[in-house]
Amino acid sequence: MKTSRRAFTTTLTLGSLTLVFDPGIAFGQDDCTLPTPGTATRFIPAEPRIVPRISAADLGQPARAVQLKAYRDAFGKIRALPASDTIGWTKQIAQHCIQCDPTNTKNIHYDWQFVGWHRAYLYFLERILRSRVGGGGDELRLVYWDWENAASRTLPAIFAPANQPLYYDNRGDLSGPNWPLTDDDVDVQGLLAIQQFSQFGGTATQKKPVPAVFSGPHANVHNNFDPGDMADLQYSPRDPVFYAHHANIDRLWSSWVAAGHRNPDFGSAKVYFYDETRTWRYVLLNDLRDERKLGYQYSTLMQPATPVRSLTTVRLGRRNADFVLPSETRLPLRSQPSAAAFLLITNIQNLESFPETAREFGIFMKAVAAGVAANAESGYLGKASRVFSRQHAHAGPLSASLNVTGKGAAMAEAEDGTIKLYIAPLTAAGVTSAAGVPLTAEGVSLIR
Amino acid sequence: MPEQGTDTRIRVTVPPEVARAATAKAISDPKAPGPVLVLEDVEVGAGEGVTFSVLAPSTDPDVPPVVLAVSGLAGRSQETPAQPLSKMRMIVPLNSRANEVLAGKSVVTLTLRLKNPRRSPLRVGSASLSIAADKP
Repeated sequence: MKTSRRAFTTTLTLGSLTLVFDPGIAFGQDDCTLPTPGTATRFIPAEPRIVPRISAADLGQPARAVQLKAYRDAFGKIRALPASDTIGWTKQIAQHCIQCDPTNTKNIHYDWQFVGWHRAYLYFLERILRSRVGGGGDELRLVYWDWENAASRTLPAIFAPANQPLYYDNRGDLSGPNWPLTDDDVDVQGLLAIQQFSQFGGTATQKKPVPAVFSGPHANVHNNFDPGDMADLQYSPRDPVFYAHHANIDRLWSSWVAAGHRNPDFGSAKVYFYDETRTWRYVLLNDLRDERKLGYQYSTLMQPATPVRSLTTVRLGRRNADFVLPSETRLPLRSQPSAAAFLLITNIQNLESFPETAREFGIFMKAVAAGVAANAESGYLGKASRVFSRQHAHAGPLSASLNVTGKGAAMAEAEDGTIKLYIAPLTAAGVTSAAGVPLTAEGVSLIR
Repeated sequence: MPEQGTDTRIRVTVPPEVARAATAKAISDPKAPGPVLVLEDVEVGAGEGVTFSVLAPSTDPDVPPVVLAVSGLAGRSQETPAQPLSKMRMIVPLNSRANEVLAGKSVVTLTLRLKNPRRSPLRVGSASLSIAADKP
């Protein structure tokens, strides 16, 4: 019998958290209730052993067949527990569902609870799985789906076969156009580069912002299963692959910290779970910041892109309509002509004499006539392009960033460092369609 | 760039520090990620999942737009956003292609293109760019 998950519910407020509980009635997998708990006691993670969490692909290797069987068996035991059991599969799903019920104003996805709550969710599941395995189960750790690797862009093989505990029958169309995941779907570099946790993982305030780590690859992978249950914000934990996906989000958090970023002080913020003894516990978010205290670390971490080299920016001076290289830049430009250099020209202002339809402009260090190939001109520095919207140029001024590597010596040639810049419209073939005019701009900077 | 029914065009000012950082990164490391796009008051339905691409126009009309990010919110797709609607601030890190797009620019027009072709275009209150990556 299917019963509305709204039936027979009461509410309980725990600090800033309001949850909806039922009086112990067992429902099916659409159950979004938990039994009314007693007083929560604090849980301080202090696992005695650190065991690697490996990838789902690694667990699928023939050499790990025994380990994979134990993993599947442990999930099978949880899934076989009664629906009313607080450590059973149905209530595991409910622990997540209840947190993101539309009536919950403290949705764990939309503020800084996101990474910590899910870390604890996986950790308590891991403890429950270990408790059901018995002897030798101490080694059991969840696996992660390393979708950032090009070889792992489809459902990991260990979840695919039917008639085993990691299988789930509502996964959408796994052979459809959403699969395999693309590089853009799972690009983690931008997330790893975010400096502030408030952007990466959110703040104490809901939706201000939604954590960046909730969007991007996390959301894209979930949504690619649509219309499967993985694309359901509340019920995605029905699918065992949810836990491998979220282990990778947890790994992304670990990787972000390993990249040199800092977690905040979460103060007294806490999250609530039933542990493996069916006891209602709370954990401070501050106690979840180091995964090693939870008894695991990842076999590999995501690596940030190469750090950007140190560069200097020098603003050019003005002398009438000309620009002037500061004296301290001239010698290095002459002595290191091949060093990378860019000329940044902001707000070019004198384009009125050119056709409105002109899209590209060449910038030169000398006067230039109409009808010449820009690339063939010795003083050619590069081109700037206007952005068109519905075939009309934006009203805003044009700016340009020109790669002038190798042209520094010529720029520094003049004894007094004076540079005369000219601008001329270019055809699609790169030929000047009008004679150049002296360039007027708000500012010019040299970046080396 | 041909506009589609699921597109939202946003015109975003490029702060000088973002333009400078984009330029520096474009020179020094083509793989370095771009700045973050901050979208204010993105309106979505209750429990709605959306996936969208952030696109920049190519300077050549014959070349497809440049994908700067694929992002969204996890949840079920909806053709008509379910009530109650909510507004969110979204942080969208842009990829390394953004550095070339933003280098030297003072303003840029970006397109938010929804993956779900049957959903109405995203409603966004405002958008801005800020440096999120390590400063050069």
